[in-house]
Amino acid sequence: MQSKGKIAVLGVSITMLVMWGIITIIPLYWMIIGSFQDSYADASMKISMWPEVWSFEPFSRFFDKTMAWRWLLNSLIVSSILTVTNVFFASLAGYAFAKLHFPGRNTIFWILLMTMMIPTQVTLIPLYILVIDVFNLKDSYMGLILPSIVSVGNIFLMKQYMSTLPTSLIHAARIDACSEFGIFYKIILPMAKPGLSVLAIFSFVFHWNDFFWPLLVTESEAMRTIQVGLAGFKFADTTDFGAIMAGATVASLPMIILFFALQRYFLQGITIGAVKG
Amino acid sequence: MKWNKVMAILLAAMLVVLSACSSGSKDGASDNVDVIKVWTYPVHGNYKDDIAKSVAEFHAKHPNIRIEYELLTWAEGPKKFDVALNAGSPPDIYYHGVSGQYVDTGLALNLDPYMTDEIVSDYLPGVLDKAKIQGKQYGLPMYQYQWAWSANQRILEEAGIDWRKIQKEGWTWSEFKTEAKKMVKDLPDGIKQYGIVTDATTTDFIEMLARSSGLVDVVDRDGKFIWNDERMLDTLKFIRSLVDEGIMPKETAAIDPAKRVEYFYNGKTGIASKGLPYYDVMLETRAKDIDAGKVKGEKIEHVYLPIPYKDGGKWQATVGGEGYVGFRQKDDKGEQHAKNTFLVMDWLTKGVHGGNSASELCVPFARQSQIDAFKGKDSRGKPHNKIAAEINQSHGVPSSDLYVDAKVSASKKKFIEQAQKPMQQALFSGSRTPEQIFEEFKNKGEQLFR
Repeated sequence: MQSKGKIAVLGVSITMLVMWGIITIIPLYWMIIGSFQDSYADASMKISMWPEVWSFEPFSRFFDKTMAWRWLLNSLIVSSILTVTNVFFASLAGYAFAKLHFPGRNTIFWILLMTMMIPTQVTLIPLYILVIDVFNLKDSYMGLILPSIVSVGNIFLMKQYMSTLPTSLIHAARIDACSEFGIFYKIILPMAKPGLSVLAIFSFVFHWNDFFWPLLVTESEAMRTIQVGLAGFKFADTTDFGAIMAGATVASLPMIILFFALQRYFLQGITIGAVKG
Repeated sequence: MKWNKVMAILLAAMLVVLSACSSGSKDGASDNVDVIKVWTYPVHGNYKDDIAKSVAEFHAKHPNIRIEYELLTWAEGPKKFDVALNAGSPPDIYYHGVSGQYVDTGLALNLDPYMTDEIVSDYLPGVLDKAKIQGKQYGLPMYQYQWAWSANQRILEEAGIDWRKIQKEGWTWSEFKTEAKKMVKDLPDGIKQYGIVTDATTTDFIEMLARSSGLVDVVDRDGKFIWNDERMLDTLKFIRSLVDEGIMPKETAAIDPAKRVEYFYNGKTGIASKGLPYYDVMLETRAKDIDAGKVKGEKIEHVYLPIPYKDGGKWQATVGGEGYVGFRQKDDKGEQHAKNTFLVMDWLTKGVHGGNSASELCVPFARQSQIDAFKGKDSRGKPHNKIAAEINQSHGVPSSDLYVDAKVSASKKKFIEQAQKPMQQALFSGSRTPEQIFEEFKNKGEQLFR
């Protein structure tokens, strides 16, 4: 009886998971299928689940009539640099907050955390004034990169992760006369590799998909990122869904590859910070 | 050690890319060149090419002024502009209709000191008024826009509807209902054909019908809330009756703009709400794609129809002027810069430069120089729809936005978001009666426009 009950529960669980999986995968499937259907002239988003005629027109419109390659390159440059800077600065700050004792450590950390409570809408205009008017960084990589060089969220994530690392190793290194930077580079960073990998993945995905800030900062077509470029296929009364789907498929490829290559770290990312040190 | 190397290489690469890629200031014009920034949109299909040509011609004529223009996207451009305006650094010129909100920032450029007699007389009568706020000129219209309904000629004629007469003389709500019912039928494939289809997300359907009942806007020219008038209740009852009587689909609450277009293209409705004369061009392009085998479907002959008006009332069309609005920045660049800004605005709206859009969009020209530039040239659009657009234009009633202050404009915006949008969903779905919605409008109006 009990085993029958277990089987039933298992059956229901599997059914629900399969259904959930299908629901999750449908938008992705629709995007890919939509990119092979020429729905532009129709303007009515008639994308069927299996195209009658397979067409590469949306891809050719996406690549031939735009600076799509340049947008992809821009996204790659911006996301890569921001991934490196976030990993670098967040790991340094996370280490300092987790393992070093200095006056005002907790106060500074709480002030940083408090900045996370301020909605983006509030900081957007001052940031725009600072970057565009004061530093005159419009339509430049610096303008795209500088405001996101490190985020408090990432510092918090790294602080939580670093807290789980054994302090005794740091003490041992100090006894062996290792410098503070030496400890960071030789002891902490190698141990923090899983955490840093998760941080790198999340940073890359976030900045690759970022839309609004690149929209505000860029002016010329050549400086747009892929997400901003894709929005250009929406017109006053029509939308080139085919080209948008083709562009979105191309834009999501790095993410899909990244996900499958680093699946293990993604899963770790779900539980990072949840383990108390 | 290996880890050290990786970090060092990544950081070095980052610094190299940053220094190599940062483009620095783009305002690096020489001292004698004044840079005028223009933010515009793909106003018509070829606008990207047309504006590039206009700018090149301007540069050849005025080497001391450089136009830097950016084509924004329709979906996201307004958000970008809002941030720039609120930050105090809007572009010098922005493509849009004038708005009290712009004037309230103190950054909208009053064009009156630069308006010469030549420019004023070049504008067709009444057009300049469409870019004034409280009597002051802030924009130069490029064309006269209008919204009405678009219809499928085949379906109209199959139902025996004299659409040419409607284009010329207009129609009342009851006449519309009588005609629309003739279009409702079950098609052989089991699909129902409706008289009219609208969507539940855009707000124009209810606004245009309210206007046709005599309520020009949510507020009147004095900023007084007027959707508490009994005519609003009549409008709501009329819309609900269209659903109840099967003229409009029961699932209207779930229809979005793309779906509305799909109904129209698939011949599932005689009329689609929110039409414009430009449908002539869009449907012409679609017909070519059908011929080329790119698209399957019926080639639709477009008929531009006016909005029916309340019995006993009068024809009141939704019209306005769209073009370029001038701005100063918080860090004002001086009087000469303002003069140059105006010079560019005038250039982009006059003659062939501005006329291109009116011609492509099949809407009435705004300036005599545009008419002259296109005299004898083939223009797009069907002649009967062009005449219909001109007649409709003559019944135009400008929006109250041109007269009210920014505070009222802001309240109107809130009313649309907080009352009109949710309530129109409720109206289409039938979850609230017209009377309940009218009460909701009255209460919200009282709260917002006190």
